[in-house]
Amino acid sequence: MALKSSILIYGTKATELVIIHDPDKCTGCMQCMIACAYKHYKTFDRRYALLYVYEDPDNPGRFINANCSHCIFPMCLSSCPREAIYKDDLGIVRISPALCIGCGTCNQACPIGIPRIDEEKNVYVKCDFCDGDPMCVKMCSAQALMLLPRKEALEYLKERKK
Amino acid sequence: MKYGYFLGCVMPVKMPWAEKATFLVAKHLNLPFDYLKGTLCCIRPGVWKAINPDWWLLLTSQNLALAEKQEVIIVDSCNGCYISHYECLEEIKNNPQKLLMVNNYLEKIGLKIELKVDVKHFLEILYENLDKIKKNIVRPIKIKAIRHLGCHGRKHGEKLPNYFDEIIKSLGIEIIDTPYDRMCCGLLLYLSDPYTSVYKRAGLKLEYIEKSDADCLIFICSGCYDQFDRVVRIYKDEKGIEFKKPIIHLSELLALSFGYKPEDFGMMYYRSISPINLINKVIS
Amino acid sequence: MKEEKVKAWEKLLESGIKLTIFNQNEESQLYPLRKLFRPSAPNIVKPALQRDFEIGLVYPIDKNIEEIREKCGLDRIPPTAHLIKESLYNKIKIIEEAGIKDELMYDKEKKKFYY
Repeated sequence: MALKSSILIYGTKATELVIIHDPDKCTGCMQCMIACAYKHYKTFDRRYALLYVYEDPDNPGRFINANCSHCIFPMCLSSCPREAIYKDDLGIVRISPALCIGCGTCNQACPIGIPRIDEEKNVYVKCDFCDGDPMCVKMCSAQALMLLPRKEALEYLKERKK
Repeated sequence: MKYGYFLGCVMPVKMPWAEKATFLVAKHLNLPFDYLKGTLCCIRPGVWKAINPDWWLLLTSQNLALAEKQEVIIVDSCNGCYISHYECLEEIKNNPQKLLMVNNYLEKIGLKIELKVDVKHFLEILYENLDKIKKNIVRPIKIKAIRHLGCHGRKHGEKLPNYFDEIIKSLGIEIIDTPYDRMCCGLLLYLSDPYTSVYKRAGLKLEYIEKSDADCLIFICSGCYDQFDRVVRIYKDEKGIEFKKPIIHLSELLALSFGYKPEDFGMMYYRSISPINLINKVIS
Repeated sequence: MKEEKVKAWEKLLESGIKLTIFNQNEESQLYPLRKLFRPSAPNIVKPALQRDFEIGLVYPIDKNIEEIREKCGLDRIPPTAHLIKESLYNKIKIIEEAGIKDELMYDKEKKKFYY
């Protein structure tokens, strides 16, 4: 129901740009997480960040990143029982804190588990793309995080896999 | 145009040997080197840019204006200072509104930016003079080493990492590749998560060096040294582990290869890991 | 009568400031339902920011370091803001003009962060 209504209202609107991550370039400095935590919570504690950098368990010294790509058909949006997740005019997928009941379905539905619980407010929170100007990309000094148009991003990732 | 060497926060206080060695090397290569006088903190981009990008721009531009007043090209050997100055200049150049904002405040202290200033990394200058360096080598340094460039040095792709490698190789040093070469030292992470910063970043690196057959760790960035120095002390206090492979600045190795003695730049003083073994190996 | 009221208000404000200087975490344990307040300057960077406001650089220079610098063949005090105080005063002027201290809630007289 939620998915249908959102498609009716916004069509397949998506953010033109998308954040992608290149593990070959990442140094694991976590500036992206720290900047994100400060932007949204005014703290440098990286546990508050809305994107995640993990150490690759198979390859020591390499890092994996998980960040919201504001999907064209978001799984979190379709799974939400309260219809608290919506797409705004820019195509950014957001969670309304007023409607969210903190059930965690979105976290289960998302293929990479992006939405996380905010323990202070007891609602789920996720990346809001900094309203179109992501801080994490600005702060990445190794240029592992890149802001690219969707098509180019897909090509970049395909080429990287080869 | 003269070069104005930007000291930064760490170099004059924690690594005077590197400061002296840098000036010895510059003098030896006949480079027009001088201090950039009256400098302040570069305004750590990691902290200030996150708090407010405009404040970062404003406070960094004071150093740029100072360089313009002294008519020098800023030279940074700390990657953090380099990226802070470089990006500030880029942003002011590309955004006239920001330039106006910055100049508005700078006018009140009698400074102004007219975009005549330029920012260079110390590695760029060394690489430009690579032939001179090769000619001046009296004492090839036959050691094995692991190098650490630092995150900010990778901003412009593989340019600075390649320069770093080529300069090291030109001295006769054999570079050992490790899986942790690219990994950050964890300086900024120290503000967020000290445990990970110490034991999962710089600590891992130092432990790997200790196990490997490298003689030392070569670095260029003062910010990274700050973190390594801290980590060595924390390991000693908390775990009782003493590292034996020293952490050496590139300028020191250059100075040694040009025939200077370790005493000329106080290589032995004020170090968390003594470089005696390395000195003996190089000089013998 | 009016003056007394003003004084009481000032006292209240001061006590409020004293309270907030305590550790935020302790407070949140005492009153779990109270909404957490976070100042613009996170606790962990406060010492560095304070030194930045007072010295202009992150690390101060003491006698010990001066001696080591001399042994290395350098000037006792480097020609940074440590020596040339003018640029530090200029920086403080900029910081005040731009309202940075106010927004980070730093009291320049008491040399302390309000929050």
